Amino acid sequence: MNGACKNCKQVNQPCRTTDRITGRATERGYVDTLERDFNVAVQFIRDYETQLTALGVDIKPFDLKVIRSKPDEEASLQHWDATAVNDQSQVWAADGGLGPTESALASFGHHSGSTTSPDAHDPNMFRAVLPVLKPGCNGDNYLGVSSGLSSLSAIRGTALSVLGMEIDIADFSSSDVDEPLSPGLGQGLYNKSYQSFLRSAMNVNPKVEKVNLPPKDSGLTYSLWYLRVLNPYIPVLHEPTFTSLVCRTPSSSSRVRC
Amino acid sequence: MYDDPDFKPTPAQTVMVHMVFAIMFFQYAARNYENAEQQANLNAQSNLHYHYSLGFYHQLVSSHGLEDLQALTLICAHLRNFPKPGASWMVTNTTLTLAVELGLHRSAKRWAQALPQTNALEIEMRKRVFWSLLAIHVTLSGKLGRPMPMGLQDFDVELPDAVDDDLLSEDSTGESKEGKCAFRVGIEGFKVTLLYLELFSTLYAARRNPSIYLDTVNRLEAKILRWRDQWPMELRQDPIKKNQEIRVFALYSELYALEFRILLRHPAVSMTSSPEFNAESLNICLNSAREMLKIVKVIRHYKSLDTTWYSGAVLLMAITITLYAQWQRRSQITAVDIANLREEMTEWADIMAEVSVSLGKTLDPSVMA
Repeated sequence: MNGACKNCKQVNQPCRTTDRITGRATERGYVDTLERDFNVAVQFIRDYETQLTALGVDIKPFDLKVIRSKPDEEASLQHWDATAVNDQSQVWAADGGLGPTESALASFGHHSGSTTSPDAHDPNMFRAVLPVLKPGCNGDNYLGVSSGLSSLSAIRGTALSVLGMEIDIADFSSSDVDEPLSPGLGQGLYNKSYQSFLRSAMNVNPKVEKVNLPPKDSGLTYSLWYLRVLNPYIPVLHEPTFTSLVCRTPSSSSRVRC
Repeated sequence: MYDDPDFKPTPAQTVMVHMVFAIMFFQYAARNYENAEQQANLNAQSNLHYHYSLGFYHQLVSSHGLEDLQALTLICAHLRNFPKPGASWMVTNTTLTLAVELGLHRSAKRWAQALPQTNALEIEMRKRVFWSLLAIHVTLSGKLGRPMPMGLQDFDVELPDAVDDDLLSEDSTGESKEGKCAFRVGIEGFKVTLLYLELFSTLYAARRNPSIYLDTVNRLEAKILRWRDQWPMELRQDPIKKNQEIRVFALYSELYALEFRILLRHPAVSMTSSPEFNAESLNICLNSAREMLKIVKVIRHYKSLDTTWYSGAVLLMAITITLYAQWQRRSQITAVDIANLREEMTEWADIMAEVSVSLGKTLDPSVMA
């Protein structure tokens, strides 16, 4: 009875209006109700899209403008064969083995080009899944998935979010780690940035001709500490071999002594 | 290098020595932040040794021997320590590719007979280089959402033997004296790398399968608990340890397990609508985060907090899951709970302040209070 006229309200009757052109009679407030229902329905669709995308289902987001522009095309949620995703139960063996099976492989890649790259007509394909790529930070970007859970995320590279806050521990400027603003001026060429690695590794930077070893006492101390404290985690150095390399004296002990 | 002026080291030997110094100067700079001038000087020296080593990159890659891979792995280890990911993933990916080209991913039993000149030392070093690279790669890939380097079925090289380096020679491995081995923490790290590989390939993969989510979580949970149960004695928590390094090894082993449990049960990757399972997951995450705080406080006491960006991200994950868990219970939370939470967050803020300094950024703890 929302929007009913005063007379209809008094007699408690549905208040109907008739379109003068079509002659169609509808209850007053019909359009308002329709708009409200439509907005609720769209919100439901968006929520389902988010959940399905987070589960790895490749879907075409609901876009009214696209649908209106192509009324004759069959509405379809998915770009490609749904069985390609459903067959993923074959991808993991019962014992948790990894790698795709032949059946899953057969359903992959029968589309030319990448099926996982955003379609030009569907910019929202990976909405709420991949964060915005940080330009100029090729090594730092998180390229995995995250769920539609808006109030908490797991680790996403150097960042994560909680209760509406995004925290990025790499969100700071550092002349030692960031690309130099003016490489041509020779500043920051030998820092810890991605580009400085490439420039030195590929001999674009002027080569560092010689670096003196630290004084012998310090050098031996550093070597000892490395072997005792850090090498155990990544044991790529054999202690006696490295010791004799540093001292150039055969040693029967793993202690760095020259 | 010090005593023989006529000694001409190979590029690999040069890089190994200079990268050790690059790493150590960096570590000293990160942990001695009270003196800004000294810190800047140490960091500059680290960068110099690092870039001098990079000048040999072409030679290392071209030469493509085991020694070269040792040197390249040290470069990967150093890159991994940086405050931002930068080139670390790309270089580790490339180095692991070279290791696979050299066959380091294959069991020694497959090729040892065909190469009679291969010795026990080389066999063990090949294992240690491969597993070290795999561990670095899985860690970086998992945190950055990149694909895992290979599946479990793609390599069959054995874990390194827990043999003291003094007894490992070209002739034989010998028997370790009383089980002494300096890198047991590394071996256990290699074992848990396999679990992390499986975790990131399933729950955090680009394509996830909800139908086997519960089985996967339960299976991996059983595996991580079994991994803890089989630790050697030296890695078990014991207030009376012989030396500080071993105490820290034990603490970091515990940290690996706690991080795994949080990632495994994290609400953001849950694929079940079961309220009981999700409630249990949140509880496990909360308890693991609290345990992590206790462990990290002791590590901090030993001035051994990790300088890597991803360690900071893990601690941040523990903080956020704690806040989220309490937020979910806000209708039942008591004043005592709030007080305890405030105290936890204050302690976490202190920890993160020190982490941020080691990352090269000063953080005001009062901002997080």
